Amino acid sequence: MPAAKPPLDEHALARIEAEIAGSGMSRWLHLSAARDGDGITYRLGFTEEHIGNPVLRALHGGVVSAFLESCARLELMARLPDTARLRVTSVHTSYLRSSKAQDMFARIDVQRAGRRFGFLEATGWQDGADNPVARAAIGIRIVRADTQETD
Amino acid sequence: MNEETPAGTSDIALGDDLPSFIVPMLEASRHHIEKEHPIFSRLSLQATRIARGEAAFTLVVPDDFSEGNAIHGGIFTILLDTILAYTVWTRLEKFMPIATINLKTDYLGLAQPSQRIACTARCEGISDAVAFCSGKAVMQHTGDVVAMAEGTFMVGTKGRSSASRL
Repeated sequence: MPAAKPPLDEHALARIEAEIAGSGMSRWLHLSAARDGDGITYRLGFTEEHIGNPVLRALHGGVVSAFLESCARLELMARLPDTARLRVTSVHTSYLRSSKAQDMFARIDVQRAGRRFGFLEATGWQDGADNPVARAAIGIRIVRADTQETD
Repeated sequence: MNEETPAGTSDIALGDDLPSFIVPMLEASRHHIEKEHPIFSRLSLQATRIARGEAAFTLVVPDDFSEGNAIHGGIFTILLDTILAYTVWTRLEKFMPIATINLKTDYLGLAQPSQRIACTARCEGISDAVAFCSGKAVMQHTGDVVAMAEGTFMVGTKGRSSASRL
């Protein structure tokens, strides 16, 4: 049985950075990642293309959601063997407060990484982690090369 | 829905059930989505039908939003957030700013880049200033559903939080 929350190892950040470099969406989001204490903090690098409404100058809701989803996928990837293939199936985002035209940060909580499916929660903020702008529940299908799908 | 509309046409069916006073606002925001918005103008987004409580758009996602050989699902979250929000306005009696409360997107399968995709959405109703919407994205040549979304929107927000998510 795989660990419900596999740990981050010393290669995690390098794997995340390689994955970001290979993803058009991650590059468009200007996504980056940094070690932060015992975890990883992700960053959306703001550009004008991320604006939802040009008058109010808030981030587009879909951009916020796509950012949180991308972070969750990266976090799970970094905690699983290289051979595991991941596909996001569901993203449910709550927009807790309005966003601003500036960078956004995110942390990911892996709630369970099962044999075939992972459940993660993403929290995104701009002005301090205790003032979250959005929270998302993300479901990711895991296809493991090293286990048979019998259950 | 108007899936017979040929790709590339700019004619759109504006439902005759739309109140006339909301049409200029809908047309202005449609123009913004199709021509001016930095993301959507790269997706060749075109409205094919706009009626009371519903909207349909077609689009083509270029290669640069791919991950591996498929379109990154996040693009459908961005698209459906905007199109769902658009259907809220088709139900209003006057223009009001709206903000996404929550949005759930499911990605069914691998969506191919450079193929025409049809997005349809409905606003099922508005109660206590909360609008309830749903929509989906379908590969036009196969009919396969690639993404579904459900969202709720606050109608008539004030001040900075009145983020109508265009």
